[in-house]
Amino acid sequence: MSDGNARSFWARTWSRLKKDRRAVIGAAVVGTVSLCALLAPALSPYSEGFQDAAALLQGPSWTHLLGTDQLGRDLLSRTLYGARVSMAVALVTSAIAVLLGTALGAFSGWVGGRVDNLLMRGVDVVYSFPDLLLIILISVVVGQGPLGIILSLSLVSWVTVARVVRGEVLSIKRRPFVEAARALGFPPTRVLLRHVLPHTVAPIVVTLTFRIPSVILAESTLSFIGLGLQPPASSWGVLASSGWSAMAFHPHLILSPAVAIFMTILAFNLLGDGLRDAMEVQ
Amino acid sequence: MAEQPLLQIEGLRTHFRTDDGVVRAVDGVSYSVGRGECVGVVGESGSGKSVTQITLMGLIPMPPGFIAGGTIMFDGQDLLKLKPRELRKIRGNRISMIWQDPMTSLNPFLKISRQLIEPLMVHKGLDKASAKLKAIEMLEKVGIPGAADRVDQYPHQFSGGMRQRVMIAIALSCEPDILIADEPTTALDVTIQAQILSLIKALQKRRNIAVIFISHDLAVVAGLADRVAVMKEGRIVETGPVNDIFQKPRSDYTRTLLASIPSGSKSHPPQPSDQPLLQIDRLTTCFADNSGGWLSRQKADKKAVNEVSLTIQRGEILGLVGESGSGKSTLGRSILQLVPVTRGSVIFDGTDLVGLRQKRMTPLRRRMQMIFQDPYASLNPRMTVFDCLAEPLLYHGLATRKTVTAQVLALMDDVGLARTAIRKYPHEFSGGQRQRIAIGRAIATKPELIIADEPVSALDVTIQAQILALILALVEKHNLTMLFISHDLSVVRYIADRIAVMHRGELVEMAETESLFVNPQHVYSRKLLSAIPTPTTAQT
Repeated sequence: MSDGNARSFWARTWSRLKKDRRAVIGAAVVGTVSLCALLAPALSPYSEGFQDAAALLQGPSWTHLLGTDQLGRDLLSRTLYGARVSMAVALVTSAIAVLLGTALGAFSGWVGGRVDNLLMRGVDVVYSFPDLLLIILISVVVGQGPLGIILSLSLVSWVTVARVVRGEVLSIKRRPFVEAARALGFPPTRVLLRHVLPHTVAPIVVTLTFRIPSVILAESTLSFIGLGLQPPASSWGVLASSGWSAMAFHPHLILSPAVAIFMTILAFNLLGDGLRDAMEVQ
Repeated sequence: MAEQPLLQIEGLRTHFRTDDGVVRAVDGVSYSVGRGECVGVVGESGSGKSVTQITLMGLIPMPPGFIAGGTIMFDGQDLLKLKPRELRKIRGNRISMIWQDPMTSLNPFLKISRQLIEPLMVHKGLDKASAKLKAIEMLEKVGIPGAADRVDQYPHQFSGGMRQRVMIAIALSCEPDILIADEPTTALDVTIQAQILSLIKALQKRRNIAVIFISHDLAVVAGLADRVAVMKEGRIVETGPVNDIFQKPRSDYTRTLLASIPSGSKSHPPQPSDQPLLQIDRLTTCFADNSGGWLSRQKADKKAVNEVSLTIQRGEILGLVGESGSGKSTLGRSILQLVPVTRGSVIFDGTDLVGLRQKRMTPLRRRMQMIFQDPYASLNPRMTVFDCLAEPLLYHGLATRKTVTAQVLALMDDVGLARTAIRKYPHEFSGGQRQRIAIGRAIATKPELIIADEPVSALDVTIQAQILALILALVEKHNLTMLFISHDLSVVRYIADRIAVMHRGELVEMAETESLFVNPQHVYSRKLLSAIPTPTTAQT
């Protein structure tokens, strides 16, 4: 406040986030996982499907840093490629959820009254519908694959965002600076987009950082129980599922995807906590 | 003084650790309070007057706060050295406090009897039945009619003034030696304020209680205190008997404070014009009363503004006064069509605004603007000064991308903001500077009519004087017409040519400023005028 320079919301958030050690660690891990996912083909020692017939179910060694599976596939490569699938599903799903949720939530809160009541009861219905049932239904219709997973997880995720955004819009639209914007003669759409929505960014970002790990977890769970992606696709859930059967004798099979899932989720949560404090979201 | 004073504060320093370093909220404050004496502590916001009292109550949140030094001697013991358990025996018992906002300082979930009984049981060891009798007695003493019946009601069943009486009853129930009153009337209407002040005065005299009365309002302190301490930036700049402070102030700051109190009317006489800019005819605005919940069938409409008719001439400043809930703000918003109007007409320069479509309303909005009460809330915190002032110019086609920077700078000159501040955000400014930004935004579109809704009531008195002077200068320079809404009659007297008085949604009186002050016609206007606290009582 006293440094005399203009400090925007983002600059302030950044300077606070930098001081939060846990958030920085979280951000670093998230960044590393994202980089691994992006650069998986370059980083992996072997291609995704390469089977080393001479090395089946081997533990960690210099040729295979994390060992190999039943078909002689390199686990490090598969985990890296798995990061790709898991992160892509999480990001795309969250993006859809945020877009849909923000649009509907903002509209609902801004218009208010009967329209709001109707839309929010719709949200209640989706919210109270059993997730697993919905996912099974969708996978029957679209088939089991990335599309089905993304579609079904988006459908269960957007309602949370919609509720958050609607609540924010409801409270922000009563604030005097919004009335001031109306008094200046700006049309409703402009007031909503320029004067109301920017203030929902912080809660949306925070919701997002908590949404992404739950999507990663949901995708892994679904793939683990066989409702999600199918082998030979290598998401972390698929890896964990195939490693589980041999867990008693070859624990390294399940260890690498499990650690990857655990670390990523923890990192997102640390980052989310830090962002929430830095942005002062209640 | 032969006798040791009851309370003696020496070199008290209360500091806070923040992101931007250590804030010295209280930085070496010393003063004393004798038995039965009323000491007024005045100062502007941030002067440390509240923090001093909260420190002595032992209620400073630590961290971030810490006490860097000093002693607080109360009846022979240093409060800063006491253990929490010993301090609790004093707090609420021998030293008690009333807070500013009676709406939030009572627990809404508990009947007031519970809240009155609790300190009596904790500190005096009374049993429930006798505590309740005592509670009823206290309510009677603070002037709550039907105390025996009302004692079992909840806070929301009391009005603001009544709640403050309940707070006083709680504070006095243990018969404290010192009562700390932190702006106890700031949130109240002027007529209620007068009642509460005379109540505190009467109780103080009758029970020989020492009162520390904190206020930003010099006029209020003048009528109540024996001695006054003036605080600024964490220090006391001057202390003395009340008459000395008001008649021969020694420090420059006290002189500035006194000179900032709006008094009398503005120097130049109103120039009557016979062209009406705004004609309001039988304007009525109702709000749906949903207090019954959506399941209940009965829906009553609350008439916030009821059949108000008035005319504002071009170039005139019309003051609109009334207490909270009188509908004065709603009238302002109804004129600008910011709330849906139920009935009546608002004719602005020949066009009836009621029910006008947005397309035809937008060009008219450019010609009428609003200044809001709270400069902390009425500016978008994510927009810089430039964004804030440029947006209306660009939207209404009054500037192009090329000319907009120059126009924004000219506006900033107009309202007295440093040009270097153009890229700053609202939170980097003080309240007064923020209100300058808000005023700049309102005059950006070159409006003819400005509705100013309590534009100075959130500001400190010295800042208030500057902003009032700025408003008067701008009205003259740009030939503005203004509806100036305020609860503060001295401010309105200073700025307005004519005054309209509202009471419970209706316009009860409208007159030239001085004739209203000299000869108010309506009963309510008279009541309102007689309740104004004036420092002149001490001055003359």
